[in-house]
Amino acid sequence: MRKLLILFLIGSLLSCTTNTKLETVEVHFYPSFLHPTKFTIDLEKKTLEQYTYQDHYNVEEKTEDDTYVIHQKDTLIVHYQKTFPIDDEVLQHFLRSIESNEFNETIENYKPVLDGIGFGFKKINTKNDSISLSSNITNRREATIEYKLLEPFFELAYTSIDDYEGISGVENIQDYFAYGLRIKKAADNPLEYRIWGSIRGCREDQQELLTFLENLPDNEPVLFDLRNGSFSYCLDEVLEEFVQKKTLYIYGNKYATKAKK
Amino acid sequence: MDEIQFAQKNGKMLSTSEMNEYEYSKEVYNRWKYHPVIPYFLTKDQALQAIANKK
Repeated sequence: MRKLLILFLIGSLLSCTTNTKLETVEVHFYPSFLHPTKFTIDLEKKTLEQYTYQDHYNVEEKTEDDTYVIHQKDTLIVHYQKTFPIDDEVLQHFLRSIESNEFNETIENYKPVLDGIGFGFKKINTKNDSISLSSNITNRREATIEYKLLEPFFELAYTSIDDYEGISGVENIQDYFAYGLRIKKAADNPLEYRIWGSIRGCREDQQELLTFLENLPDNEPVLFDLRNGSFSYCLDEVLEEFVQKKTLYIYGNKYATKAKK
Repeated sequence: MDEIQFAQKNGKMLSTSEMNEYEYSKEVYNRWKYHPVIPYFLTKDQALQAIANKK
């Protein structure tokens, strides 16, 4: 009788294990100066949904003594919502990262920061149980697990999203993290690079940029797409120097384009 | 008439952040438009045309 009971218990445990498998992965970002975005990866449908929203807005009311009172209005505004198919190989690579041993229990990594980004990964299984990682740490030395999840996520997002607005949204989020020089190659002929975030500081802070510019070809036109990026004012003199040395064409400064409209 | 005056003429109240953003955009645009050294183009087509003209 006792043996039968033990066999029954083992059987029950095994059936629990085999019946629960990962169903959905949610990745949520709360950047300080942007609207929150949630990415939902549906493993069965092999899709990625990108959803940017706000759940309230503020209204300024002018008072009699010429000051303003701010009222918060709770309402849902959807700024962006699209779903994209995910390539199977890309999805499997992402899943191997997300199912690593380091992310098998709920983790919270928070420290006080003034501005920045809160973010979280949540694994949800077929029984609706979940494990999550929540963090606001973007320093690579302190956020080892975070970057092990962020890197395959950004790879999956850039490979799957085929919409300009969606890609720009991902770039704006990635700009909060430690990803070095915000320049990526966009085309070969003519050679084109896209600035995908803010390149800050001055000459002495930007050795990586200087090396990049030095290594550009001398006699070939090079385009810079600035539609979703920017150089600081202080780097004007660096650009001026390299405009003399190389053949640079910079287009799409978003502020200038907006003012022109 | 700039965007701020235009909005006010139409009875629209711009928030301080909207006005600051517009002023910043105007400043950046003027800086680019009148910059003597850096070749700046509003669109990729304009940049490609400049490359073609130089050949």
